[in-house]
Amino acid sequence: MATSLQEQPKGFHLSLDCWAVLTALALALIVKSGLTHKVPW
Amino acid sequence: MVKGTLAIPEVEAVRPIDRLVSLIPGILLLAAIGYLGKFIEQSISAYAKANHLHIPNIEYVLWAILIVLAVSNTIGIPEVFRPGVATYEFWLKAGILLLGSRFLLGDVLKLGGLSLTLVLLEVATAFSLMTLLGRWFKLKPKLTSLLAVGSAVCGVSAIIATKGAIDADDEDSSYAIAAILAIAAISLFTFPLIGHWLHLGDRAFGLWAGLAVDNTAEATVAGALYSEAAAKIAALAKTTRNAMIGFVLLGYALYWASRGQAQAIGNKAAFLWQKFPKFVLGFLLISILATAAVFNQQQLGSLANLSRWAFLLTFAGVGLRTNIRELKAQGLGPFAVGAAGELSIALVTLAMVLVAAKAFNL
Repeated sequence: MATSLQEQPKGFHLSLDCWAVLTALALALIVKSGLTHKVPW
Repeated sequence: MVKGTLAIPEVEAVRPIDRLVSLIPGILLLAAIGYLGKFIEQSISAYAKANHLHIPNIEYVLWAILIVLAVSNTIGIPEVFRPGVATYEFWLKAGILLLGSRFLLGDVLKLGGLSLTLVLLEVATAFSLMTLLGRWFKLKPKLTSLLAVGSAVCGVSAIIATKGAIDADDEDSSYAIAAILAIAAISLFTFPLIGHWLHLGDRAFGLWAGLAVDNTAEATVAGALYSEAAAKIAALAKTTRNAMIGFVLLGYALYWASRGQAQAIGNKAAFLWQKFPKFVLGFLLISILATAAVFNQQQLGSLANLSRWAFLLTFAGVGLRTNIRELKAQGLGPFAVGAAGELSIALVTLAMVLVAAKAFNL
């Protein structure tokens, strides 16, 4: 799955899967904190 | 050439902050197209309601894809948007992960077990069929391998991973990707029609789409065009299929290495772990959290909405995959093998799903 997030040539980098997992967990934490209660989806 | 179709950016030594900034215009464009799709769907529905018309509801998913398809094949996508648009695979994974909150662990194990059994049958069928067809059409053996992996497991990502594992030519992988993408685009529109014609239930259709449509994005979209419940099942079945990739790659890599045409594999367990789609573990983790009642009903609703928005960005990006002019430029041989193979796989998996639907009351 080649995307720009994955094409890191050097230095610190995470795979696309790790980015997706971290993002989803961060979003789940935000939802759990109650910040999204009033979002007009 | 396919590089353009997939919008794979060239690797350059750029600062992470610049890379992040370069993604913003494309992501905003995806969001705008997704929102436009939603707006068109709601407007048509409101117009039909106000005028007492019976217009079939066309989902925002389809509008989003049609808009991108039309733009990318006429005026083209300007360079500034390309890096951001290429992130749709990321949104797809984030969307599937968040979807984990809608599955209690029992559901995952039950459906996961059923789809795993069906996936094993599908993989065996797809390999046998594609290998036979490749021989009949006298395709190069490595091109046949790539087509077999693309149709048996998970489309483009599987082909790219296999290309590295078996040292296949760029040209072969370009052909295989073009063929698999063209077929996936056709399946996207034909599967829901066939599903409605056969009066398949949401679960049965979702399973069929997840088993037979290549590429996770296209499989999920095909499910979403049917119903939201079908999209959920399609994503789960396709994710189970994706989880097979390590084993399939290992098998192929060992086969070609034994013939001296690929690098030998040292640590097989490390190879499997490296190729295993890690986001599947994240999906399970979120599913476990939901099962443990970490989220209340309102929070589960918010997670579902976030997942829907992530899919919206994905669907807007899917249309960009299909560059009609570039597909025309490809030869017909690989496409014919791919199409014949996919048609057979679609029929075999449909039969399997119909049997499973009867046996498990799907």
